[in-house]
Amino acid sequence: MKNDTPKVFKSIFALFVVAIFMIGLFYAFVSMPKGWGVNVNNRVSRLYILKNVRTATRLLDSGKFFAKGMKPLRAEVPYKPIKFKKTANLEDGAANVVTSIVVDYRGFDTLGEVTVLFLAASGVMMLLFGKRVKPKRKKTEPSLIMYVGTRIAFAVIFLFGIYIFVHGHLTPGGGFPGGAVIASGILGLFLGRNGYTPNHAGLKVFESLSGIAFVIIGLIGLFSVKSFLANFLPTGIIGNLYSAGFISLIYIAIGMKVGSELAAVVDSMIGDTKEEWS
Amino acid sequence: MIIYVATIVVIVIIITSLIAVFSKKLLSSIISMGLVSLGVSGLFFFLQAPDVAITEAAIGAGLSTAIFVIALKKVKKGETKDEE
Amino acid sequence: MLNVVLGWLGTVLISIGVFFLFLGALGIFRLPDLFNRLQAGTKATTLGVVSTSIGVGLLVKGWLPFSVALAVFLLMTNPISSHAVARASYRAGVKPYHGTSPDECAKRNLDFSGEGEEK
Repeated sequence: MKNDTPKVFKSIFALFVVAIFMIGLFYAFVSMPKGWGVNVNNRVSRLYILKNVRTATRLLDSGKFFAKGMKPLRAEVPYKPIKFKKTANLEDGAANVVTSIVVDYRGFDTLGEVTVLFLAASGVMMLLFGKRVKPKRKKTEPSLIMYVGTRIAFAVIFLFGIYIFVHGHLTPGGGFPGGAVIASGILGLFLGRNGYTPNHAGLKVFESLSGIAFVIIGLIGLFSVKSFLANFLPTGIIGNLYSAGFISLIYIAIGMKVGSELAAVVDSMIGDTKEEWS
Repeated sequence: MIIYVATIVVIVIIITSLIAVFSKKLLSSIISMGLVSLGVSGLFFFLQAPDVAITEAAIGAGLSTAIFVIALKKVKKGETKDEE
Repeated sequence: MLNVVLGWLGTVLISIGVFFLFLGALGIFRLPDLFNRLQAGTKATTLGVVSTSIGVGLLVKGWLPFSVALAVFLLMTNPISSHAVARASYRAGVKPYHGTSPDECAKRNLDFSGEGEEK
């Protein structure tokens, strides 16, 4: 592919993009509320301490949750019991507690995890970079059963991975296991027949776009709610699919990124060998 | 009831990890490492952490075992070429 | 009335499934070589697991779609994985039991040279 753009424009464009991200990150660090500015009682719900919400609600209603003479952590905040599929406009409407902490309260940690995975995948690809060797002659005929079966099973596995990371705020799961499930489906396609090559440009585009989407969602939160990776969408009714604000958007981005990265790792491990894998 | 199942799972994890350490063949130690991951994911599920259990089962038992096997096959091929 | 019929149907299906699971375990102990054991461990176990899961779906209210989806996925993937294991072990040089009279895979003139020779 020929590229006629002069080098100066390319460098200026790259500098421009980097400068925008640097300014955004600097603004994030400057304008984020300091440790003493946050009311911690508003950030952590009392019911999230217990795992079994139903029992905790019953105990709190009957007044047996705390011992005599012991003051609850958020005694001055009025307490309302949370009911599934009825209560609306919570501070974070995710039915899955782990997801709401990982993506919403500690969203910056998740950004760091995604960066770590990206660095690991790029390290593997840099180590195994080389000329692709095609097998000279076919030693054995590939198995038709494996070929057809893996192609059919790939659709089901792909759908299951998408289900895992779209329903991350309702059921256990999330972006990382969904991406890993999708990557194992692609591994099955590799084992199905010789010389399978995924669409490399598609993998690159998916990975870059989803990584950029994560940061852009965080920047939208920064410019609208004054905090990086803050929830800027309405939280809705707890338990519905369209609830919990931006958690499902971020998990879709993470799932696409992890799936394409792990698929690229598998491709770079399998692709440039002379052997047959079917 | 669940404590007995968890005890059995822990014993299986210990035995498979010992096999993974002391086995002579690299392939069998890789496969027993995948079994260790499967047992650990079951243990996570018993300890009421289903998110971590799903991640461990997908990455530890699924992908990393396959990647180790692929790497082992590539390394063995290089060794035989050098010996010849 | 319908609940009673569904309950009996589920119980019968679970009994059939447990019986076939037992047959699969017995076959793994009794049969002579790898391919026969693989066949016993796949055929009987597939029928057993599918029948057991559908029986549980009939017994418990509201579980039928999940158990049918599980059964369909097992029916799709279990024979494929067994076929892959059998093919890989044949290519790695595992000899069949000597009572296997025509070795059909050897007749197909496949060239397995250079595969699985460990020395």
